[in-house]
Amino acid sequence: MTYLSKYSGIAIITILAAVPGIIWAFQAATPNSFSSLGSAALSVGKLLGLSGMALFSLNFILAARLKFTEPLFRGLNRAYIVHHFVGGLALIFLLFHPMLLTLQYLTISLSAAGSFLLSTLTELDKFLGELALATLVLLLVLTFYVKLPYQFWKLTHKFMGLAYFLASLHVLLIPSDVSVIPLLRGYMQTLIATAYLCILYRTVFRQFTVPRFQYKVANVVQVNPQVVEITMSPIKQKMHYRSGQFVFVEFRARGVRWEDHPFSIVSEPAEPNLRITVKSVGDFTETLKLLQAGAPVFVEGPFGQFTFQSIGNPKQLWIAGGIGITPFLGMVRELEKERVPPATSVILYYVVNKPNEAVFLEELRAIAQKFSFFKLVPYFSEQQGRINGGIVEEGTRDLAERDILLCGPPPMMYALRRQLVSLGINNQKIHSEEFSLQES
Amino acid sequence: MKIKTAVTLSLFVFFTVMVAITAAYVALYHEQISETLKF
Repeated sequence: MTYLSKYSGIAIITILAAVPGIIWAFQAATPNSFSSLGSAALSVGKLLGLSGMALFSLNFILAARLKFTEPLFRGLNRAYIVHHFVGGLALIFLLFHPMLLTLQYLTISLSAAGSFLLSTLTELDKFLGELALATLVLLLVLTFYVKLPYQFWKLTHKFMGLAYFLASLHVLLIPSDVSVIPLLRGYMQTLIATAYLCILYRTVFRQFTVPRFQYKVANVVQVNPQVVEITMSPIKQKMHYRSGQFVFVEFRARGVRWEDHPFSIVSEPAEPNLRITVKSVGDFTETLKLLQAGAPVFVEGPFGQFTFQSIGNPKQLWIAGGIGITPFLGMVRELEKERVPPATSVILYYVVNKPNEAVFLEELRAIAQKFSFFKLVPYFSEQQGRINGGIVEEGTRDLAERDILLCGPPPMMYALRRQLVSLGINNQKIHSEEFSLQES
Repeated sequence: MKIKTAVTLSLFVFFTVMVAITAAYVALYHEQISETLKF
């Protein structure tokens, strides 16, 4: 994978956010634009406002779960990581936009700066911008600093549309470079219109616009006190997927909140039914134990590129932490059923605190006994100590030849990646499934 | 630098600067402000 293809999504976001600045530089900048402290503050303030608004718009496109985002970002989970970063960057840019405009007036006098601030309360076009920024700050502070339950976190994100609506009115109504430069106006209008379409598609008319497969609950099995396996059968069309991918699932059942949550698929593609394994980590997942057979289910997906096939190298080392076993369960079940490439060799480290937490261990042991290409290494942290890169290197003779797939608690994945890289493993050969929305 | 750290620093700078300017302006020009805000 080339450097360019790996970072193509980030490159596109960067270019699209820089375009307004480039148009401004060619069509609005003058030799005096940076000639004094005041004019430089004004120019940088304008540029940050334009790029901040472009990033804010692009973030709605990133969050719309459109099919083209997957290949650009090497998986929807990574697109969401970029979305989180872009949201933070947009807020920073939009904070510095009014601050620098105020500082520009401060280079004239305190009275001028104060009058400018006062005008943001009395003039509608400026007030809309202030209100948008206040809403954005409130919502992003909740996102970044408060650990909200999933449903409230999701609600705060829905209100981003309101902040965006106010911000877009500010951009389009205020007399500025956008109002006088047709190319800049056209570009910003296009970005804003695209973002509105994404909001309508993903949030407002989601029930009608987002394609979803209709399933029904076929069976719910309590695997251990904390884990349930839910089997769903298709009502009409069966969804095609690769093992290791994930789906967003919404259960329409009494006692369960009607909202979609991401889950790894643990069934293998040839199975007629779709299976997910869920660990109780919050209010929502706790209620899934109450699901009854026949409950309608809406499934969106599949998403993700964390699959055996997408890696390319048939020699792989998988490290699963706790319920992070789920994508590997589907993958190993698929390898068991399919004709695997001749050079296939998979080692699975299954890391749990104690043996009774290792769900499906017996099934995995049975597959390992049956197939020479699959080796299972159960690892119990309470008895053997915390797993680290050194332990993995010691237990895997040909580690350098393997691609390494990690799925588990984020701190474990970050630590293992860091340790493996420090042991000389190429970072490009380490693949991780970082999908942790708020606990649900 | 993590994005959360950058956001925290930016919020700190933003509120410090804006509050400082507003406070200084209100302290020095409160009569002018009441005049402007009179509807």
